[in-house]
Amino acid sequence: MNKEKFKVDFPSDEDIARQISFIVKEGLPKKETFFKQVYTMYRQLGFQFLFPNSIEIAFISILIATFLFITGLQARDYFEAEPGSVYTFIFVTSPLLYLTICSLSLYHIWDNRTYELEMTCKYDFFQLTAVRMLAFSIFCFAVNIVFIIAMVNSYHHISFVKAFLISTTGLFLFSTLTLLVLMNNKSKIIKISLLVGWIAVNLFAFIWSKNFYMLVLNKISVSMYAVVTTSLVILYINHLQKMMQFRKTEGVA
Amino acid sequence: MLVVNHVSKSYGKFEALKDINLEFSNGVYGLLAPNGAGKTTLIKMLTTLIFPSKGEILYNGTNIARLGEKYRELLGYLPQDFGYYKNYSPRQFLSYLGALKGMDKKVVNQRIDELLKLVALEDVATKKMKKFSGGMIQRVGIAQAMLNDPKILILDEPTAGLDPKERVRFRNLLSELARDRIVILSTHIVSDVESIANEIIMIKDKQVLYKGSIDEICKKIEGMVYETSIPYEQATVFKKGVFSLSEKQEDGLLKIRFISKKTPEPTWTAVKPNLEDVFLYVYRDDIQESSAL
Repeated sequence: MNKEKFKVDFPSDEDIARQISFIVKEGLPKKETFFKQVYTMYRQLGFQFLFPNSIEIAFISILIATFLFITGLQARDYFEAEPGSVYTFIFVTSPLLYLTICSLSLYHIWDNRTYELEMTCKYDFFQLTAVRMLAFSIFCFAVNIVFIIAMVNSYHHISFVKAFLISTTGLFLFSTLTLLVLMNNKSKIIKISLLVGWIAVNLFAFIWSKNFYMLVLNKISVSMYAVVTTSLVILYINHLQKMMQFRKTEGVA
Repeated sequence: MLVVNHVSKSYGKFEALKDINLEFSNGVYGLLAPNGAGKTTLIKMLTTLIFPSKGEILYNGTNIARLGEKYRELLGYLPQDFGYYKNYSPRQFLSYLGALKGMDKKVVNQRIDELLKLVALEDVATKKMKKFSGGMIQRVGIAQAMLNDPKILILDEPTAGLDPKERVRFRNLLSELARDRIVILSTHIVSDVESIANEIIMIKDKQVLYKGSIDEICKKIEGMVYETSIPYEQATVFKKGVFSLSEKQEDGLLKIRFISKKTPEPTWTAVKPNLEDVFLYVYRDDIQESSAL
């Protein structure tokens, strides 16, 4: 008896490979890098909508910068009597501008009650906040450098490199802490405590054990500062990246 | 199609919603319940502001949490507490939200013109919103919810602050919009949904109590609603035996609309129940509690 031979129309290996790659491509859309996402958002929103309260931010920045420059340059007697204290001043005040403009930006959203609405848009509150915080930190970093240049010109015993690293450590330490609190803590009290606590804690540490505080700040080597600063910047960018994706998995409220 | 599949939401030990199952296709859905019943919790889950503790919400078969921004691109939402930037004009604010929604600038500008006309705000399009009345702000809110021509339009207490004329305009607008999209209207004002909703969803004790057309829901108390006129002095005793829905003075007597499961008396006239009767009857405990407060 002759059995009929069935022929199955089976796709070729190339066809299978092509189909698999198509399914993977459709199912797993290519992830954009953090900086590409930031650029896309900037292109879509533009400066005006990324920083809706830019005039207030500019005004408050001028005030804070003026305060820093006047205080830093006027406290000559104290800084010359206590040579290490100028680094303490740079460390404590380095995130001051960042702290103020971030608080102002978040207060703006809270005061106008736009949070819920912004959370239901394509670019949500967390993505917006991540881009804004990145921009604020770059802006504050630039202002801090100008401030350090002014301080170095005014006080010849200051090392620019050390002052720069101390200032950057202070700024990114505070900004990373802010990000961690914003993302992991829902308690408003803790968020507000961080914002007002930075200066309070540093001042307390300075008053409580001035020698120990200044020793820690001044005796750390430049290379150690460089390592800490680089780690903090990487950690900060890493957390900004997480903030961009935060809503997709966590939900809010 | 939007499907709510065995969804529960808890905050610690407190359970806000329990095992909710719903399906939405194109049309107007009225989410009707007294304040505090869990309407806003459900709305917040549908808008991905919060995620369910149990169960899932699917849009065309995919979990909305997984769809992320693709789902939000299809969404129009008016929160109960609509926030806006006071120093922005309606045009600026809508442009801002259009950008956040990822829309093309040209499309946004064209859409803003259409919408401002639709909500009768074209004359104040460039005026700062800080001087706007509650009704005008609410109309900006309605315009922003429709900005991206959403496939799912979710409105939480949308008629708050609107005058009667604006309410009618708004209802007509929603009926028209619902032809090719899902419109979910959360409210505790029965008249907002009575004339336009294809389906009513009533939530009680953290669960969906009724879901159906107005006629189907009204049938739940059919044959139990009556009207009668009685002298005022008999009112207190009479009301002890029935559930009073409404009362008014008429020809020196008290005309009372009520629900009773007892055998009707000859002076009682059976009337066709409406949605408000069902609402008052279903939530009688909640209403009595809130009026006692």
